[in-house]
Amino acid sequence: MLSAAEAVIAAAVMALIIISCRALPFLFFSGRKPPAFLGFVEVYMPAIAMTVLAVSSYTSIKWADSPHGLPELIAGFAVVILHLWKQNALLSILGGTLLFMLLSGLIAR
Amino acid sequence: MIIRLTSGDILPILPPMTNPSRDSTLVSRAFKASIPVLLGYVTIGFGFGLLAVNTGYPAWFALFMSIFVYAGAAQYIGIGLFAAGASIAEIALITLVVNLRHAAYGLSLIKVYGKHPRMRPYLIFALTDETYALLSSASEEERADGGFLLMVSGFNQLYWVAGTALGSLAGALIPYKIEGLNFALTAMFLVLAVEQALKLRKARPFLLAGLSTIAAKFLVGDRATIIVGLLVATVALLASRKSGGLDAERS
Repeated sequence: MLSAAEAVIAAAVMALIIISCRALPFLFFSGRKPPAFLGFVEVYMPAIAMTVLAVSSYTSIKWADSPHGLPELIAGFAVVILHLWKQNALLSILGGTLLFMLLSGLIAR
Repeated sequence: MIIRLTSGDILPILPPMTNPSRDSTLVSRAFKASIPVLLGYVTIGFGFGLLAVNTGYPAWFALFMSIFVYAGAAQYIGIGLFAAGASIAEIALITLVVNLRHAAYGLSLIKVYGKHPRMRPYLIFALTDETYALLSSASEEERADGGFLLMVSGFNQLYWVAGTALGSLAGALIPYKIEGLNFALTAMFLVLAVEQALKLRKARPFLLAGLSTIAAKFLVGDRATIIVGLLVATVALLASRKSGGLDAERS
């Protein structure tokens, strides 16, 4: 684990990278038209990034060990269904997390 | 006193010098516009503060991140990486990949923000997913008002920082570790993916991204799954673009 001082440096690096990402189009394309390829990235990047991030939290599960990723699978399924149904981000995230806590407490013991 | 025009518009006649009510209506309009983000940011910010303190970092550090980093997913991932003792290079690369989507957001706001040069530095700094969503669905009139853009962006960060403060306070007061809290991050990604699916109504980007991530896990292991998964998925989608079915029109 990084110490608080190391974490401050790491967080400062993160802050610089994030502001650079946000400022990039303003620095490069204020005067000219962005290439068509970037329009494609603009449309599909959020979908790709979110799917990769969601799936990557499943690929690190140790499936062979009890409870075999069941709490993650069931709670994740509940989040998707809840969100397709109500489209209330708060409800889906809070509901899914509470269900996960409950399941991992129930199944693991 | 008002003059009713033939078209039905209402034109207020104001004292020549100032409009005393303008500032207060601006604040209340911006506040009302920011309400959809209020609850989400306070709760997810709360979760972040709680996670940071639960992991073993002080409350001031959680606040430091919410003020200067100000990026939900990156902050959650950052705490995980700090706890795992990741190197600065790894942290930098993952932050870059996770937040590259923000570069895409700015593309559609170049003209809008270009009209407000004095406010632009903060507007760009505060361009989170949620603020982008709010401002890109705002009316033309609202988008032309620099004060409105600044207020909405500022309110949103205020909610985020306030949530973080409350969460780290709760983390400091609750003596035991709360297990399972980090699932909130997975849930958030799933929610954002579902929202993208509802918007795009196409299966291919999601299938490619899912398969690329699983392939990346087996090829390069847990540490580099996200980066390699993103790269492979983007290249695969770009390569499949020519085969039809996908278009790149900006909405």
